[in-house]
Amino acid sequence: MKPRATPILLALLAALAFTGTVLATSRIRTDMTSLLPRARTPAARFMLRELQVGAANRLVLIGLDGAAPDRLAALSRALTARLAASGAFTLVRNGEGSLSGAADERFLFAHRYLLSPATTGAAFTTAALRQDLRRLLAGLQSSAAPLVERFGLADPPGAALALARIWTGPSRIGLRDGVWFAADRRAGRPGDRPRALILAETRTGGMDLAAGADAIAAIRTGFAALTPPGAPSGVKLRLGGTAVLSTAAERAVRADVTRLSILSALIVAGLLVWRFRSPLVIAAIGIPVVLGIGVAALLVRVVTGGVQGMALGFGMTMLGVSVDYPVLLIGHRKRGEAPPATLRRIGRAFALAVATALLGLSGMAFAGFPAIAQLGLFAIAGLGAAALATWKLLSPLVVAADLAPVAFGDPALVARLEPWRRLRPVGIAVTVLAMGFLVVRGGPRYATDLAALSPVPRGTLAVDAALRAEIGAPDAGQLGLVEGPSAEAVLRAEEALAPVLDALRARGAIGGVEDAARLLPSMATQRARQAALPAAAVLARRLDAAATGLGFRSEAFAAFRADVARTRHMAPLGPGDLTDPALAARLAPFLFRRDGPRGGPGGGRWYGLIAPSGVTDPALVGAKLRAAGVLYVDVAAETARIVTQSTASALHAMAWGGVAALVVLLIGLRSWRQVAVVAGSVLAALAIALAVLTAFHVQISLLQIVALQFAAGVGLDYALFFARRQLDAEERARTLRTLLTCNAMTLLTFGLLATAATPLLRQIGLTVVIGAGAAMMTAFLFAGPMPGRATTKDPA
Amino acid sequence: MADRRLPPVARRVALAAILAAGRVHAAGAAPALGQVAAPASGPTGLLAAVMARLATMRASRARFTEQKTLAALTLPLSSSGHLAYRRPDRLEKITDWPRPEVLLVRDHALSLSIDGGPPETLDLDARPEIGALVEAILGTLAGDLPGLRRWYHVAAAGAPDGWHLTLTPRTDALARLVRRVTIDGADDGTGARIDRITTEAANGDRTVMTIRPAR
Repeated sequence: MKPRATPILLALLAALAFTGTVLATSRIRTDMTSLLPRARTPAARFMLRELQVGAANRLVLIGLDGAAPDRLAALSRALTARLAASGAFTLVRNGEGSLSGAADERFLFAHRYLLSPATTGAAFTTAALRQDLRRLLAGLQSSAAPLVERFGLADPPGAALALARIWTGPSRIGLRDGVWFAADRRAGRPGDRPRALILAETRTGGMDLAAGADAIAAIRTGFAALTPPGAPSGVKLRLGGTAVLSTAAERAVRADVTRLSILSALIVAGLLVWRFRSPLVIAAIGIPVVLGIGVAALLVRVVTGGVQGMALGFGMTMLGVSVDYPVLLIGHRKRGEAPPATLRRIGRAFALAVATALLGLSGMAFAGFPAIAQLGLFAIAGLGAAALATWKLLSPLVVAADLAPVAFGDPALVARLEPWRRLRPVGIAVTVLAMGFLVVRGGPRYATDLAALSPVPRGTLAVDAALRAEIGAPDAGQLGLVEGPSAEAVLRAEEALAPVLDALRARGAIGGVEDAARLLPSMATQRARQAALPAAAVLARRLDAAATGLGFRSEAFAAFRADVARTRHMAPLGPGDLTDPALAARLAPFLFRRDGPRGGPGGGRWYGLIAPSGVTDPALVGAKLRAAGVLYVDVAAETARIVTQSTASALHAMAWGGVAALVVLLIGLRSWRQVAVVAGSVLAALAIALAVLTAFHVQISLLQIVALQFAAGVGLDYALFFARRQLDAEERARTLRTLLTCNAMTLLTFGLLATAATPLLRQIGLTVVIGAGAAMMTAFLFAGPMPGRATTKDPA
Repeated sequence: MADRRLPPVARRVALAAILAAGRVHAAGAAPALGQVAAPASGPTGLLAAVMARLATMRASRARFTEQKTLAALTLPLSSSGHLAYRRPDRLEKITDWPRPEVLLVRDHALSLSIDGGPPETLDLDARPEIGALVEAILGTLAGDLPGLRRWYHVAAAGAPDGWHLTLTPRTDALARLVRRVTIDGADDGTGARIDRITTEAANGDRTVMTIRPAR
């Protein structure tokens, strides 16, 4: 009878409509913070919090190079104006206004006696002043006279100079044509190409992909408008900063996933057409898969409130495995058999395969990474729904559509392939070899840094690192954190730490240190300095005494005397008084306020960051700081610990999932021997896969563990179906053919993943290919009956 | 943030430079200044003629004495030494008395070494107002009128055998530093020479550099 297309097509349309609606109405969350692991220690908590909302996080670094400096400067000015007007940024700075007499320099100069460490009682004695004045005279004599006149006369003790050195610090930005240029790259040195720099601050944290993408788009549009494609200017736009990295990561993954999803869908469809020769059958197979995606997205949305973009991408790829279930049903249909009968025949193996796969995946929910947990939930819901749809929906549909079974129970295939099973001892030997290899190597090597999980392209990372170095952004590997109820408390605590840090520097344990108290002394210190300044009459007398015979007019020091008198009555400065954006931006990374947990009453706490540089003995530094009551974060060590902990908990969860699966197998198979065979072949496959990965020096990260779980899942499918007892040759042929089809689909789709551009996806693809390939081999060799031993009785 | 390789203030060069002293024999016979100046009358013609003559000088050496009258001091300061200029933008001022010092301007950068100490450098592109002061001298030496006009209004007075150039700043930023630069010179038939540079700063300082031929 000719098959009726309508029921199947209707069902497929309905499934597509359901899934389409779910996906269209789901909020795809692009916030990468859910990809960060949960923190267990205060240090980790601080680090991860800073990654999310820290000030440095909101910076976008823009570099312009590839043309003459004056062209770059003009471009810098124009682009800054555009970006400032666009409203996408809270702050856009390119150094304009930093000519001599700039606002930040003026502010520092006006408050130099409060802020500078040169303000001591000893600096204002007659003797010290006389020395200063002698030096001034020599300066006026020289060609540097104008400089000396402008600043030296108003500041004989040189407080402004000391202050400027501290505030400039490690910044390597230079000025040219009125705008910022990377200091090491100014033209004039051979081989250096000048690069203009612009700093922009986005409104939200760099982990918010949508906002970050908007900001970056604004920059690119502005740049494109200023460099029309007609005139080949050769100017290049370079971008760096957290927003750029996050967006690059997301874009890289999305590009790959989109391309690969389409390609793998085509490959799978092609393979199925070749195998089943009927587009209607393909449509029927598609129904559970599409439904699975829809149900998975719906469940995740209900549980977590939205679908994380990256999880959705991964989930879609992994649901390719769900194609196995309808293929298993349709592939096992005998000629003239109604689907319900097929189900009865393969039912136990099918149910066990689904149950154990889901149990194994449940481990992902406890891995400690919210995104992995979401991925686990997505996969479990999707696979479960696909299996259920196959069971309940597909057979009545096939009946309704009157699809003829594709009878591939050709015993010749069995006769051809089954003799390979005699290689079982070889398989055992290979497994033992693999295990031995792992034992000798001391087990697989685990990844300890997050870089393995980062999908950011290497080029983008390099540009970001170069821009950060040029801007002088703090990139400390070790950080100390001081906490207090107010900024003043934090600054005083940091000042109290000064002897500890000086001792560390004297011992050579650190090269230098930057903290907020060096930039902005506590109010207590400022008041002490005010007290050390002499009164107007006293200063005038000392100055006259110091200037005798040197030839200075008394009016020469009017500005100096006025400034000192003014400083004596100034209100001390707090962080809120540094209104100039350049000064505020310099201080912000080292002194900041965070709201209390859950926005508790009493507001937030203030934090001071201590950034040592040139650390040669991190352990000693950590010990001394902790002894002083400072929270010490060794960023690299902390990251490694987070990664290791997450990997460990993922392994634990996987082990427990495995135990649960084992129990289910026992209940289902009711035979120790069969359980041993099935479990054994899966474990053998895992051992071989791990050995291969270790042999190629692949570090085992969370990705490999997830990928191996999938491979174990499909391996269980194969082993359970091969291990079915009392099958005739026809049935065994159908099983063989169907499993080969499933395996081919898995290998092709994940093999395709292994060609992705992002290392993240490549690793997953490679691991699953190795695991699934090994699983097919071990299931075939160990789980199936040896040739000649199978009965020909047809199981009723 | 500004370049911090020097103290956070500009070093003014202008007061420290130039000059060509002796006769420089220009390649190719150049008409006597008097003949060039003849057809033109008035300052514009004179300015063009002076610039043209100055432009023919390739290199020169001279001795200088400089007197600074600073608003902050009761007595003027003096110094003396040598100058060397080479086209198009290399200028060296070597002070012998009272304190040894070497000031070198070359290729958009300025370096100053006092008392044999390590040279401090300044990128003139980063500090345009200082660059402008240097340009006043170098531009005159090179006969580069457009270059001078970027920063100053240029006026010429006098006659070919005794002319005076007056430079007044065009921008406010520059006007905050310098009020006027006056360059006196003369042509003696084989080349133009500069005799005196007077710089008047905005705060009332006055620097006069008198230049005599080397030897």
